[in-house]
Order: sequence, then structure tokens, then C-alpha cells
Amino acid sequence: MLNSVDIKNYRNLKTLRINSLARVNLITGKNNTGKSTLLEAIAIYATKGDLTFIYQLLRDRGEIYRQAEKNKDVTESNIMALSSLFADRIVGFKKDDSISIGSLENTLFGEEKSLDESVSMRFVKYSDDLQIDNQGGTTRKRTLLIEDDADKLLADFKVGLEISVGDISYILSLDEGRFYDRFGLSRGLGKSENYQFIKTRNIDREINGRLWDNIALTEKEQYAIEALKIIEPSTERIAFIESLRERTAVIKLSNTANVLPLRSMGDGINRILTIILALVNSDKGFLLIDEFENGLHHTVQEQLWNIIFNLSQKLNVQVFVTTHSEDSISGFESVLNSPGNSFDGKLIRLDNVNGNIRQVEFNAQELKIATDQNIETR
Amino acid sequence: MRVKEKFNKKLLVEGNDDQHVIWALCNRFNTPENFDVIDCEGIDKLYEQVPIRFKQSGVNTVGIIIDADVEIKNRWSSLKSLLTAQNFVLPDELPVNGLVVASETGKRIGIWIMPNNDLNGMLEDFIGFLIPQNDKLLQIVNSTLQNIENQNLNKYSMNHKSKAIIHSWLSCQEEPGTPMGLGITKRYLTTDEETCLRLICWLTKLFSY
Repeated sequence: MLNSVDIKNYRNLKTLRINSLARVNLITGKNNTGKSTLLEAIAIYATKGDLTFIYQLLRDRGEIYRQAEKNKDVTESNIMALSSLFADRIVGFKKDDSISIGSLENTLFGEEKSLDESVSMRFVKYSDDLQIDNQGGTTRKRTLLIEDDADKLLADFKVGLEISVGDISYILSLDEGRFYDRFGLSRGLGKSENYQFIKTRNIDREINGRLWDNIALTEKEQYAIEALKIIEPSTERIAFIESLRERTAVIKLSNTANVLPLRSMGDGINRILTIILALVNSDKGFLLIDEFENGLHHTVQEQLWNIIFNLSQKLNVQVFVTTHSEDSISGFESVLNSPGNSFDGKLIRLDNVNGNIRQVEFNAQELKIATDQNIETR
Repeated sequence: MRVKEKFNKKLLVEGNDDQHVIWALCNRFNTPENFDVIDCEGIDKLYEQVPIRFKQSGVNTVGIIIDADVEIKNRWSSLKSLLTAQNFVLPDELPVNGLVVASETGKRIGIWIMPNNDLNGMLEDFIGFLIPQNDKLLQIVNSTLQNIENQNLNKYSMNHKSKAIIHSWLSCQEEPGTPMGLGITKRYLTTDEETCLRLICWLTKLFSY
């Protein structure tokens, strides 16, 4: 679990520091304040800079160009796509230009430093030199050209992306089209943490069938059924069946013999299944949900918060959710402050102050005052 | 009453009467309409709101009007500790013209303690100042209440005497039952009284920034 987060140069989050995070974090703010960007940053941290995830992110945002059509240099296209991850799309080579995402700890001297597992990325200049080893074979030796050297050796360098997790790093070469295919490289940086990322449009995710298989016949299966009962109280069982090229969910209700396709039952129940499957598959990791309220009536949202608070505690999942909805915040507040529970949650609002993103935090008690006295927190 | 909030400047007041009195005064003086008057439903809730208000998106000016009640020094010192925690640097004494200060981060706070930043008392004492000078009815109200007290027939506590006075006085105007705010609008009450003008100056200084 991240107790704090410090983000530098990731898209519009030039410097964002949230000194304390809770188990369940609700993020609000106007458009263009970086709510989804914050979720992405957490995902990059969780995956330890995994290339497949980064490629997916770039593709979703339309940043991957088809090189043949663009008639462009491969390296140049790759740099262009990857630069979209950096604040102001700057292709800088200095340490200060690095993206870094990590948590902070206070040292004895009151200074802050990054914890070991921080993920960072920056463009670098490097050279590949051929070396002859003692058996007479040749190996390539990759040398990072430090900033000062760069000018001297300007004649012969390549541009790569250095990806680091803590002290371990490697240079990703960008002179091949399919840079993201090199799984082996990122594996060197450690195993990705468990995480699930539900995007705005994910009412129903293709991987739901696989997530269901992971939990079938375990107690987690029952958690999923209970969650579906929020919307359809007579839910008895669900299953995934092959249909055309994909596996889709079907539901058996207690008052009828028929089995119905879940998709026939509206967005709400499908969104709940997507969220609950993601949640029970994120043990000891992170659950990221963009636009919580999608497809969900406000009465349903409060019950879903209850499940999220309970299960995230039980399964040790840290949750980050974005919202624009007042209902969603008030449901969150009401569950967070419900008597007899000791839930850990907070509201974080991102504000754009002259192009810099700043955070404002509301703890449980402040949220209660705001809700009771009708004070807008969004 | 709860209002639909429109502005990023807020004036927090203790109750419904305060809210309507401010609205009536602003109307009377044509002050620019650029702040919300929030009825916090009591002093405790008002105190609770202050830190939250400064966390609201875009809010950088908050005004507070509270009653001194029985001891203005206590009110001032509790406000001081509340606002010091919000990084405001406040003077030892509350200025009689009301306080307006900005913090280093550009946030602005204004404080007015009823009736006049000096005496103990409340909104009703302030409204009492607005009864026209040499009003004959007021003299009768005063002597009648005195008479009632002499016979121990008053059910109000002496702390609330100013309430008894102003409402007795209002009950004898053209339309009995007129509340204080409307008493200003209907011009039963004057507004060119010195304390009233100082309050308007304070409001303008705080919110016309």
C-alpha cells in the first residue's frame, strides 16, 4: 500500500505530492485536472514501468502512429509517442526532466526522500560499442552518455528511454518498431504488483471471464454474487459461457428456470460485476476505477461503497477511484463514517492553479461536516 | 435558510436572522452582489465550517459575523485560535471597525463581532442601534419591560433583553410580526447610524477586493 505519493513530470502532473493516502481514495476535480492521469501514474508504479501497460496506454490515447504511413524515422516516431507521457511533451535528457512516481518517507532529519521502489523514466543518449571478448566473439556494450559528455560525443549516439525501479535500470532502445514487445527487459525490474484498472468505458471487460475463473469455487465467488444482489436481489448463480469469439456472463435468478445473458440486464449490473471481479482479483495490490458513477444509480453507489470498504480491508487492496458525482461523494462519506466501522478513506480534490495541479485533502471528519452542512467539496 | 451558492466568496453567519439582516442592508446600500451569505445554524457549526470553506474549490475570501454574547473577549480568543491554525496572523485586539486580513498564501478573512466589535451582546443589540433617535415608542417599550421585570413576570433571561426590546418594538409597527431584516427593508429602522455604516464599510472592504 502506498502511504503517500510523489509524482514528477508525468503528463500534466508536473509536481504532485499527496502526503497521506488512505486505503480507499476518492479523487474529484474539474475536467483536465489530472484525475485519470493520477490513476495511470499509480498503475505505472504498480506495474514497475511495464512496457506492455505503457504501450496500451499510448494506443488508447491515439499516440501510436503507423510508421509506414507517416513515412517517418522509427526512432523519431517512438520518441514522439513516448514523449506524450512527459509533462509538456518535453524530450529532455536531464535528471530534472525525468518522470518519477513513488512514495515518500520522512528520514530522521525531517527530509524527504524517495523510497526504493520509485519508478522513473527519462530519455537518454547512449552508445552501443562492439567489444571483442576473450573467446574472440563480439558483444555489445551499452554505455550511457552522461549529460556533460553528450556534447563531446555528439557524433555518435542513440536516443533511448531509461526506465528505473529504485536502483535498477535499463535503457530501452527506440530504433525498432515494436519496442514494447521486449517483455524480458521489463521483467528485470521486478514483478508487477497485483492491480486492476477499470476505465471509464469499461461497463463490461473482456477479461471478466478470466477473472471469474480465478475465483470460481472460492469464497470470493460468493462476494461477487452478493454484490450483484445490490441490483438483482434474486441473483442465485452466475457463469461464463462461450459465445461467438468471447466468453460472456450469464445469470441464474431464483424465481425462474431460465438462464439470462447478463448483458440483457442493463449497464448497472454489468458494471458491478466488472468492479467486483476486479476488486477480488487485486489482493495485496491496487484497484483503480475511473468514473465510479458510470451506470450506477445513487442508491446503488452507497451499497457498492460498503462492499468496497469491507473487501478492500479484508483483501488488503488499496483503492483509487475518480468521480464527478456528488451522489458518489455523499455515498462514500456515509459509508466511511458509518457507526461501528473503522474504515480508512479520504477525498482528494485536484485543482488546476495556473497550469499547476494542486491537491486538497478531506479526511473522514471534514467530509462529514461538509456533507452535513451541504458544503460543496467538488 | 439554505441558499444555492453562486460565488467564491462566503460570509458565514450564525442564523437566519443574521442572514436576512445582511441581505436587507446590502440591498439598502446597493453593495455589489459578489458573496454568498451562509446560515450556519449556530456558532459551533460555523466554527466547523471555516477550515472546510477554505478548502472549497476557488474560495479565497471568507467573512465571519458572530455574536459577542456575554463575553466578547472569549469569542475573540476562540476565533483567534481557530484562524491561527489556518495560518492567519491576527492582532491582539479586534479593531472596532472589524478585521480584514490576508494570509501569506493570499487567503482573506474578515471578522465582525456583533454588535459593534466592542460591547458584549448580539445581533439584536445592533438592530437596537437602528431604531430612530428619540423614538417615543422605544421609551415606552423600555419602561414596560422594566415594569414587567420588576414584577418578575419576565420569562426571558437578562442576556436576551435586547431581543425582548427589539421584538416588542417591531410588534408595534405598521405590520406587526415583521422580522428584523424586513424592518430594514420597510424602513422602520434607519441605516445611517454610525455602527451600521461601519459594518457596510467592513463588508465592502472585505468583498470588493
